[in-house]
Amino acid sequence: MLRYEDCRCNGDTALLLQIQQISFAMDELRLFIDTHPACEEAISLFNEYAEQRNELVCRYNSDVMPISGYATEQSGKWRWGKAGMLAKGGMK
Amino acid sequence: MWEYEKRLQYPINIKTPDARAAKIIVSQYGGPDGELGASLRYLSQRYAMKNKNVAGLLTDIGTEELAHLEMIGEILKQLTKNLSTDEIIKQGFDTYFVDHTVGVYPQAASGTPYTAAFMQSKGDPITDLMEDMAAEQKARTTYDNILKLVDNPDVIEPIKFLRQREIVHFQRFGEALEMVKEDLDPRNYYYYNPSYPNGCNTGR
Repeated sequence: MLRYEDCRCNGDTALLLQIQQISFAMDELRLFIDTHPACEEAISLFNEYAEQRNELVCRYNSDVMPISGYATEQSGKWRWGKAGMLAKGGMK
Repeated sequence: MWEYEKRLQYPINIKTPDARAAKIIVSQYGGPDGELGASLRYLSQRYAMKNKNVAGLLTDIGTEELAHLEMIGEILKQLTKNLSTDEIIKQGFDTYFVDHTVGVYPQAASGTPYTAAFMQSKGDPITDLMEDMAAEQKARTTYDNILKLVDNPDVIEPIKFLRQREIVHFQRFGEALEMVKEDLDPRNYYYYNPSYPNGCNTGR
């Protein structure tokens, strides 16, 4: 189990890890809702996470680099080439 | 359409390269039960799926499989980083290296290139969902086998994550199969093709 507090890394990577964790919770809920479309508890949890995730992604888009496919223009800068794939040790 | 987010579904940070492990794990990139076949299978099958919730499930799982394909690609890249030619030979990676250097190529561990013959899109929702459940089990067995063959915790953690996803997908496909069966005559054990109604499907 990957824990947020175990991540001895800089703030940018910690924010990315938070995005990965909340996105995964939503990935799991999305499939569950596909086969349990009437489950209100799952849907309200999904929506709650969506709001939190949106805030984290917006913060990442503006403070670190555009992570979303449609976020490039928002920053007014083109930093994708510099950042590469976001996995640590990934493409440089 | 798809929107790409510049991140992995699960972080991958392999500190020690190991080409021997890469040679095995490449099977989940382009092998018979790999992530490429999984994504193409579900994303192709959804067009024949009459039940819209289940078509949505195929889209969502097919999309997640693409994220898994990306994770396997990243694992392969990190496992083969900064290796000397001597290490490549010693770790048994020479037969892959001669064709692809350390590029990521969809093939089975045995060397067979990816082929769509690994998967099926039969145009029959019942048949397709049964294939999907089998496919998830076959992928889970492959990850079990990988876990028997690798010993690096940096590799084991993401592989365990991927193995767990196969189990969740198997469960969701099982539920989807029940949903499709409920759309049919529940007294008829031999389900006909709900996407190609043609009487009892025994001829013209």
